[in-house]
Amino acid sequence: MITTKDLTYQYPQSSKISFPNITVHPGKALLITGESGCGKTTLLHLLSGLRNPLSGQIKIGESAITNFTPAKMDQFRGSHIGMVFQNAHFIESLKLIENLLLSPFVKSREKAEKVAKRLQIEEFLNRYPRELSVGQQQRVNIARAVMNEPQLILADEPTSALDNKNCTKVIDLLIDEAQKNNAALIVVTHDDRVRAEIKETLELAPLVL
Amino acid sequence: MLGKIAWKNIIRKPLNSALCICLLLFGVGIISLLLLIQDQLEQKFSNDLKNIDLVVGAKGSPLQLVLSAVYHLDAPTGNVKLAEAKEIMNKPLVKVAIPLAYGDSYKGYRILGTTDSYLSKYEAKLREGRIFTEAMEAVIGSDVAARTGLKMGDVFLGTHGEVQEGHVHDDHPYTVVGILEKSNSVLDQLLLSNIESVWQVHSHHEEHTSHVDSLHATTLDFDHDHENHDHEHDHNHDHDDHVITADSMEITAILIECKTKMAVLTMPRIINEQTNMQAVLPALEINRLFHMIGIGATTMKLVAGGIMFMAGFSVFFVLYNRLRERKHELALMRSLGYRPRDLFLLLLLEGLIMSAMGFILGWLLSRLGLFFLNKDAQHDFNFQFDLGWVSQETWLLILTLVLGMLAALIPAIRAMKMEVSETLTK
Repeated sequence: MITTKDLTYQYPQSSKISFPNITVHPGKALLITGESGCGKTTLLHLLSGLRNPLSGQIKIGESAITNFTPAKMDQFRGSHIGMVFQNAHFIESLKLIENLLLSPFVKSREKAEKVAKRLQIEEFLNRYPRELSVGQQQRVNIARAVMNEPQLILADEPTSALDNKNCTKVIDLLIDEAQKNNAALIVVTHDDRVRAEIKETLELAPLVL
Repeated sequence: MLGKIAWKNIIRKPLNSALCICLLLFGVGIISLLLLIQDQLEQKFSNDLKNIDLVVGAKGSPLQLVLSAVYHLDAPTGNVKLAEAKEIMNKPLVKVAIPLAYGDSYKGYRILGTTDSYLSKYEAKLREGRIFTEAMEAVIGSDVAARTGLKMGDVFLGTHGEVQEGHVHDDHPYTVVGILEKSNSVLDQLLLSNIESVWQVHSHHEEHTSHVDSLHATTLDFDHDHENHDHEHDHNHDHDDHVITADSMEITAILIECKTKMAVLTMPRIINEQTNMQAVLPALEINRLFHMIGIGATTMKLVAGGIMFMAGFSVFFVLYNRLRERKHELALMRSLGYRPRDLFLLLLLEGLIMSAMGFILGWLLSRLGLFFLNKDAQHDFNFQFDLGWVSQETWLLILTLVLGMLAALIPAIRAMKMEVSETLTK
């Protein structure tokens, strides 16, 4: 479960952004939409502790992450949060199975193989990332996000690079994996195709300059 | 895991990494080779010096005298009269004096006429047979035995001079009566006999071309010895008599150990001023020689150091350049729970692995080089280089690894300080 309270953020030489309070329970999903530049990704980075808010509170489980030191935040993120990015980033020199096992908080190789099977990517595991299509890469990305059995999964534009067929498949898999891990899922996107899949939606207001 | 990522990153861009490693390899290889050669040559030279304080011989180049009399690497400076030599050998300040007579060789290995004190000076141990007791008996070094195939009881002929094509003394064959154990000293490369043997070979030779009476007498004396060689005591007696009486005979050099340090300094002055011989401090001459070699070696080391320096820079450039294309990977690692200091370590590790590879390959290269040098070293220095670890190489290893880490330091700090959030949004 994740809850936020009175989150604000300020970019240097820019106006302050205030975010609405969010609560997502385990196994539930929340879609955050809004126009480009309204601070969707910023909010996601705040939630993952990659940026620090100007003010406000974020609680993941029982932990108030806004009080963490950067190094402790990295460790907390590694063990409790799974992240899916718009462009699937990989360590290019590692095979996909090695990419799955990359996190220091990975539970086991068996877990990786089980998840890979569910996502139908087990046949790619001994290949290198660049040998895969974008849709396949995004499925590996989802697999990696749940390798640490996270409490929270944060997805940033996970479908924008995909065609319709892959889009539905990837978002279904994402929701499915979040539920199997009993994790709260937050998807940030401007992709309208996702609206059909996630009922609960939060639309961020455009930034007032 | 970090080690695995670092390793995979290095082998994924083999050309970039290969350039760094090659530069390191040549730098390390050259320095390592120089260390090996210098270290072992100096050790070898000071080993063979034992505690010879002075070398006395005919006037000429002091270095040549030392190289020929102590190391058997050069031609003799000439001969000295035994009478004059004995005067010095019998001085009260002299602790040990070993006469040497040489000039002949067998298949390129020097035949050295001396006394058994020479063998005891080098702590020679016999592998087979016994020490020479009579003229024309020879004890041979282990390398000589191995290379020439001479065995106990074999007979061989000396060749005049150091080259194999010289005049063969076919009327005076030597007989092998003993073979020495390997001692890693000059002994390994010598065929040893008594001084009388050398005289006998040459006096006969000179007699043929007609020469002095006393020589003739000595020769007869020796022939007489041969006939009575079962009378050991008689022989020794004769031998002593002969040495005392054959004052017109010549020897090539004397190795002297003095009783006091003072004598080491005063004796050369007396000898150089009052006789037509020269006395040389071999340690001094060898230091001079190494000083001269050292200038060349230092130049080479500077060149190798320059190569190492460039290697360090190339490691830096490769890591720094790749940082740009890798920043997404590094941001990804951060988002997966790696701490900034893990990324710092990762980059450092990559520098370290490359420098370690450079060192290992360079070390192997130096051994390969030495392996080929060894083929000539046998002939030029009477010496085989040992291919083992030289203690200074520990420093070279540390230096190389530190260089690799220093080169990786700035890229590593950049990786550590990277803004993950910004990188991920780009």
